[in-house]
Amino acid sequence: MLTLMLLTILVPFLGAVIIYFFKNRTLNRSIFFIQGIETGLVIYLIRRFLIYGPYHFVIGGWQQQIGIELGIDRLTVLFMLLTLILWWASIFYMWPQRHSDVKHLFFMLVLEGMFMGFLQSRDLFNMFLFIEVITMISTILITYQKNGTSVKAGIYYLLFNNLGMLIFLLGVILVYIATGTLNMYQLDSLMSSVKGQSIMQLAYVFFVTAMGVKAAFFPVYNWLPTAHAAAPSHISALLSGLLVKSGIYGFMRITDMFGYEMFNTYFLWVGIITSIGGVCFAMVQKDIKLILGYHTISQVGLIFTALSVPDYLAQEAGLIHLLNHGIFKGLLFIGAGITARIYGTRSVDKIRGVLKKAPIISIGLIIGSLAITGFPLFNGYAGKHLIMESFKEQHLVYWVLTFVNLGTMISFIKLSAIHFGESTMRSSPVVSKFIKISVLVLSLLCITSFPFLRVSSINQWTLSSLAYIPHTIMVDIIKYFLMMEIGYGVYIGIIRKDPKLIKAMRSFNLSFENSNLMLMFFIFTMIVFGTQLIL
Amino acid sequence: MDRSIILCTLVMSLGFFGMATSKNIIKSIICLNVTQTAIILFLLHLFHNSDSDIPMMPFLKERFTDPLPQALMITTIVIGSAVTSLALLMSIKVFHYYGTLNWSELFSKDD
Repeated sequence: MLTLMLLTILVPFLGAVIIYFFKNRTLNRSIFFIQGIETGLVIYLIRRFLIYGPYHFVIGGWQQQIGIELGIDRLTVLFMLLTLILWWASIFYMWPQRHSDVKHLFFMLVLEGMFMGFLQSRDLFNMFLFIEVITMISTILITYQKNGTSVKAGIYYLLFNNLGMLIFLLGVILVYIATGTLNMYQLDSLMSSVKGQSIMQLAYVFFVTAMGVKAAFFPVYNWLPTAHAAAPSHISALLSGLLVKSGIYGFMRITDMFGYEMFNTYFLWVGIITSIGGVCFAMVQKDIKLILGYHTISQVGLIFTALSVPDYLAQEAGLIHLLNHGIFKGLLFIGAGITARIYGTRSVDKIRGVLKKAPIISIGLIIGSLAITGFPLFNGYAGKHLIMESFKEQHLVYWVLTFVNLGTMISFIKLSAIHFGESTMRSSPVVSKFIKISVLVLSLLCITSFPFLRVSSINQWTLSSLAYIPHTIMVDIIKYFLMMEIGYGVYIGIIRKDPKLIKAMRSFNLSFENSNLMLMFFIFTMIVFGTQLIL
Repeated sequence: MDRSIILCTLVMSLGFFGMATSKNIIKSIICLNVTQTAIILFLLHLFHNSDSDIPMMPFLKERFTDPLPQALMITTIVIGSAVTSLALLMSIKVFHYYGTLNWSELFSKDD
């Protein structure tokens, strides 16, 4: 079993080396074969998990304390499934354009292997290493278009994320000093005796900050929109669907391990501010990929808000929304990428008439928009509805989340203008079959609400293909259309007139130095919040 | 408290301060390295003991130091050098495209 777990990391890596070494056009097709083997391996591991429950092994039979441990549990399994789906989609998307680009295939495959390794590692230091490698490879992929904008965004991303990871390393060191081990299972059992030490609390603060940088929480969000806008579209889909979630994944693991509950109020407000901030900036943008990038921030904020509540329903809701967000954001980025390529521009004002020019892409984009705004029977609805449900008693939070939803609708009303009207283009574009397949599969998954976790029975989850249908569905549909009306009114009344405030917000950009300052501020506020509770 | 720990913390803060104030990409990269070196020294110093031997085979003294921090830190150094080389390479590209290495000038320029 351990061999198979190692193979999920090594198969993409070896495949990448073979493809890069031979530089042969026919051999490049083996990327589908490698991806197929990877899928088989993951399905086998999942099957074993479903039968026997979670399992973990140490490589080479060393002691737990010094060995490298790999493990599979429910969270890992769900993320692995999401990884596979998004990688299939982006390989299909990039294939017609880059099938002879050996370097690109190499980096794509290595990134997949490293991500699988990150998901399985049960050791804080190995987690650090995998995230560092993921950061480096994704920097190379972001700068892949080799123009000024992408290099600029890439170096910002690399340096800022590395500073975040250095803070993670500091946390790892503090944990090692306090406990003498870095293995998560050992730390889990040790935690009750060292939990009260202030050195452990400081380590927790550092871990959360580092993961906050990866997941783009509000004061440290600024690397995300620039990087997403500069990257090739399938890389944006991977970044937004998965790599941003690596921060949330790490956060969930670490919070699970440490079990501190004192920061929950703080996390709740960080999540809320992140979602409001993201949605406010998304409303004013005009670049199609920047809109989607800022929406990633807002949705991550929403997920984080749900995860900060120590309640089973809210946690599950966050997890469901996280997985569904990966799917529909991947679909939206891929659709937006192909639209931008057809029209040669990314401005929402200039693209018109997609529905006539490229019907399948347009329908995919509409399905993605319906999913992200939470229309009933699409997959975004399940998570959003459950998150709202879990905040029913806290009125302030409930209304804030309703506002976030309204903002999402406004910016997607703006985005939906691209489907209609007369296009200025004369020639009809040819969309490749591969791209159509990837869009179709992702939209199908959006409709059928991919892995929906059954909430009613604890520790059980199913690949149920039916979307989530609560008994209040009619009320929700009416609510949705009501909010759509309000959103349309706001869009016509305020956003489309483009007043000075909105122009100022659009050109707002946090510089690199200020982003670092904000990172320090983030750590500082968390430490202050922590000590205030201890005193 | 130990004097060296205070020194390490000071150097680390210097690195963070540099990241938050430097206007030049090369300076930012240097500050990142300063921070990393301080973190590495911090851990190595904490597990350093002049009474004990290096963990290698013939043991001359009775005790030897914990080998794990050293293994971890050498990996960190390798990763750090990879990151630094990538960042320097990209800063060359940035200079090639924009003719400047100043962060604020870089982001005020349109493409």
